[in-house]
Amino acid sequence: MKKVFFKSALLLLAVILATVGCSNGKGNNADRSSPPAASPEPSATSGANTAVSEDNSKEPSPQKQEQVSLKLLLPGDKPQHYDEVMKVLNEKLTEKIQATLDIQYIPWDSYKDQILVKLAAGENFDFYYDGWWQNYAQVLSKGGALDISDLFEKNAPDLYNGLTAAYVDTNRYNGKIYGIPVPGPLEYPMAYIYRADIAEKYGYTPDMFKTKEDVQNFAFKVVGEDKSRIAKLNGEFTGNYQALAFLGMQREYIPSNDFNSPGMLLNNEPKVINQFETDYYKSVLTYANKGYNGGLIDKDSLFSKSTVTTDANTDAKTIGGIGNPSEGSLGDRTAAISKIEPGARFEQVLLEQGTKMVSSFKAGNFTVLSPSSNHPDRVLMLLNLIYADKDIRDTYLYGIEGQDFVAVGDNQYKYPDGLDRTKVFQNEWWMVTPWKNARIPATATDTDKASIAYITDTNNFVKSVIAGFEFNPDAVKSEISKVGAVVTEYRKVLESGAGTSAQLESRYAEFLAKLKKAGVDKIIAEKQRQIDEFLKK
Amino acid sequence: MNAKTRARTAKSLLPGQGTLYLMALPGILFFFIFSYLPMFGVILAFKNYNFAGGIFGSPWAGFDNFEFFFTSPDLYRITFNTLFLNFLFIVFGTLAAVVTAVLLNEIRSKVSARIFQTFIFFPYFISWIVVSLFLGTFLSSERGIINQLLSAIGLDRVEFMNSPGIWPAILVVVYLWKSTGYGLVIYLAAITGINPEYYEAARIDGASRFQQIIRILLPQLRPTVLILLILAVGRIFYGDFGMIYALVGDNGQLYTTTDVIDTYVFRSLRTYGDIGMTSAVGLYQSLMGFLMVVLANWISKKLSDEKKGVLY
Amino acid sequence: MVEHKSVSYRLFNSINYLFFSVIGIACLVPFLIVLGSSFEAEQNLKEAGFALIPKHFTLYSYETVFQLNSVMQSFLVSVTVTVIGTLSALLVTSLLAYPLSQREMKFRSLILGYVLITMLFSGGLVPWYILITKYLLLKDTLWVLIVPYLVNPFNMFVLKSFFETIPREIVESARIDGAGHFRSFLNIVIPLSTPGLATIGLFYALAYWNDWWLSLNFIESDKLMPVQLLLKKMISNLTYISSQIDTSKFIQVPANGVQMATTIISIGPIFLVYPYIQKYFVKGLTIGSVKG
Repeated sequence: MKKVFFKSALLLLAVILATVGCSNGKGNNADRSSPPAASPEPSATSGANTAVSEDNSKEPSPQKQEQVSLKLLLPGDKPQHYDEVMKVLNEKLTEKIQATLDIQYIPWDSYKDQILVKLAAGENFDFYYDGWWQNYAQVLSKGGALDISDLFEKNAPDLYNGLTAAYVDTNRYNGKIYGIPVPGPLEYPMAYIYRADIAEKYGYTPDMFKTKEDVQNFAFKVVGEDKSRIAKLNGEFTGNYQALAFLGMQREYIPSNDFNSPGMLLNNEPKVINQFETDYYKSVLTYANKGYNGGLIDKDSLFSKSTVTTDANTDAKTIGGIGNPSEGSLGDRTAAISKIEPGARFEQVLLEQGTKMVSSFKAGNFTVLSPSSNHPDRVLMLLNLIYADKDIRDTYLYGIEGQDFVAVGDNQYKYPDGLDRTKVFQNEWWMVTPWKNARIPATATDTDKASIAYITDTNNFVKSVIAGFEFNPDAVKSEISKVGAVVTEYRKVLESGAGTSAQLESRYAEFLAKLKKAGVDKIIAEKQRQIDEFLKK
Repeated sequence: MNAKTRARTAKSLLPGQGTLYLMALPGILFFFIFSYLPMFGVILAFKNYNFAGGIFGSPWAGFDNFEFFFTSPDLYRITFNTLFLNFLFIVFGTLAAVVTAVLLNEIRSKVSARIFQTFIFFPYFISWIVVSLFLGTFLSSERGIINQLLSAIGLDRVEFMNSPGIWPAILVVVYLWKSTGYGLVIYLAAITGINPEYYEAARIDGASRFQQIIRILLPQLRPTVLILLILAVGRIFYGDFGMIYALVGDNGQLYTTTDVIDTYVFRSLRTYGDIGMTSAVGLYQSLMGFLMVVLANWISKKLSDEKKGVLY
Repeated sequence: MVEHKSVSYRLFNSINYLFFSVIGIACLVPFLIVLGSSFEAEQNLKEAGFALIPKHFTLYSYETVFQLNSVMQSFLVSVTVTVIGTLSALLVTSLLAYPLSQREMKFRSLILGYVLITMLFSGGLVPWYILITKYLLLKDTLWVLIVPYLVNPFNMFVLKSFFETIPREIVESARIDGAGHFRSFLNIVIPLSTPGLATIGLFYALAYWNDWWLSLNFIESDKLMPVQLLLKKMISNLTYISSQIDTSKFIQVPANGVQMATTIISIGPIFLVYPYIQKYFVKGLTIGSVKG
């Protein structure tokens, strides 16, 4: 029956050839036909040109433009009242810039891969959220962001000027503007957010939490006496342990906010070190291990498929957690939890007071235009409107007044009576517009306000010696991928503190050895070389 | 066949044959569209994919994507895990199915046999997402049934999520739980299909029930076992993505024993977005799989002394 | 067959019954634990863990599930997809399997090879995604949950083997009487193939009912979200549940309980249908696979 097999192999070959030929044709056809289909009148490029030619008039004249629909991808779940809010918002947008907005929400746990697949497929969407702590670096290196160097200032003048040219330039990549930076907190000093009522009961005052050890001891004490309490000292969000390890030190990741890439600066000295090899990192593993074996860490965290494991507003058992400083939510949280457990109250302390953290003053989050966007000009106009038009911004971020939020003054909001975050429309400001433009909850406590003031005041941070430096990964691309694989495999386990201390030791040694084998030293050397070169200039 | 008869056959068959092809057409088209068209994606394995260029516009990369994978320490591990886990599944799966089928055949009460079969078959119908939830109720460190039992009898709790060594065993148990019923049905059918005259003859010769099983039943099962084994060997380079991704997820601690080619490919895509490399691994897997099928068929040919293997 | 009355055989028989009772129960235990836990109070679930028999029986989780806006809608989607999908898949698959079971068909082995190859080679996720979204324009439609699974090569082979077991004389006599291939397929082969069709029908139904991959990749609107994706969402994001219900009625959202209850509900239809088609199923599967 060899013959039959041979025949089928031949057939396969024929089919593949036919397929390639056919799909080639198909691809070309589709490419040729798609722009007219998407925009019947002027083609995509001429649309951009129209905008360019209108430059001198600044305010784009409303009548001339055709109506377009813009598609935005955001991580998360679709908020309540989405359709109603979008209807209202789109009426306003149609009137101002002849555009409507359509948002697709992708669950957090699949956002990164969905973005990659959609970009790879060249799917039609206009803009999306990304950040260094997501996969902005990969997206940039694969050409997944539209170069808007020539479009930005023309189409979104208010936003451009508001961000300032200097800030936009700081966030360039290879000399070009890709994502639009969203300024938020300058850096994230670690904070302990905890149940103040419980702390008081055990004789703790805020000034007694100075180090991560203080926090752990407090947790041991509470959990030791009251078995129903949960310490939850896991770092639920990327970066906590990275920061914890270097608590009280000036630290800078290269590229900034890329916690997974080895190679960082300490104390603002231009010497690249492998953070995973340091004593500090080791000490935080021991710290986590102590917490794990002492019952402070949820042992199922390794099993969890959940990206959001605790519901901050329904979880009355957890006594606190180390993480990013609160951005105005303490009041709401106190209100929600005290409904379940009367007397509950939340408070926070910044664990890094006294250290001026180093900052390159770069953004961590970006609004990115997709290379497949047919209307980059209109996307920029939309972002400009969200930046400059308070009414549109409020609708985009907080929904319909009265139904989704109640405005309190110019820069605060509260939820309508009896409702909470999960029941109303809300979009995250940090995916689209600067923080100073957003409202904060009217229930924000003094601690909240102090912390917001602290993390946005440049005086609390030291400018990095390598501010303006950007790392070009091309020379060590393959090493970065290999090291990345090792890091994803080990980091979560190591930092969860799982296992006996002997297990931890051997696992840690294994981790370092594998990093070496994957070429970590080459990456460090390359980073050092580029930084040296940068500093020479 | 002389020319005359051949002409007649052709005449009588052709109109009918047309109908046959017409009937097959939708299915053939389906495979052409959903399987063969995407196959041109293999060229991605030789490209340095970027989003702006897409499939046809991205620059060629030669064998770079393969080099990355073949120099990676992961290659050995994921290939080993894929083969090892599949080997365990095949061996234990076949054993469990054959043994339960033989034993169930001994149960004379039709109602009981039917009830047992219903129970054993049922897990086959549960989605892996639900199975992963089931597994969590057993293995959870604090709340899981197994650890509740262990601590109730005074033993140390086991942190399953942190013990890669026992995961092949866990996966085998889950696999057996979910798919023994399927194999059972097939083998049971093979057993009931055996000509009763064989037993009759054996009984006349004075063979005990046990001897009948050894001498008649098992040899009669051999072809079925072989067919299924060979089909399984043909797919031995394919890890069960649905199963392993649902049960292990992103727990890096367990990768040493559970990471298979399919989960690795998916993870490379989501963590590095490296489509070229992902395609290269996919191609490697397809080629190895193809080799295995040819090999398996060749073996089946040798074993059965026939001209035709199981597959072609 | 004559019953064996020997002592050793009786002993064996008892052990055998015991063995199957244990295995049978073991197969159901995970299901029972989730069932038990779905009736357990949230607080106990969080603190004491999962339990076969709830310590504090409550219907709270189920009450919450039925408040979820999305559960009913998802059920509707899943049922629609499963019904339409299974019927269409049966049609296309049997239309392909029948000609391939006819030995006189020319190029038969070529077509078989053509199908076999698709079991081994795939172009990968990205080309497949591009095809479906850019060229077939199926994204975010009900069809995208159905069409990509229309013919499963394995099911096709099972059905083909089943058709091959139908005595050729029956089909041929019909042909001699003047019936065309299609007529004899429709009037003779199909009625004789109920077990085979029921078998792969159930396979298809399961594939459609249990699938989340298609919806994860191609479905955007909540209106088209099937049950399995809903479950996946619940598992990966506990706050998803509280965003879907009127929390003012609950002091604490029974997130764990809701997961359990939704799981039970998602298995429900399978549990109800399965016993009825089991007999066909066993028959079809056995004939189909044993003959390879």
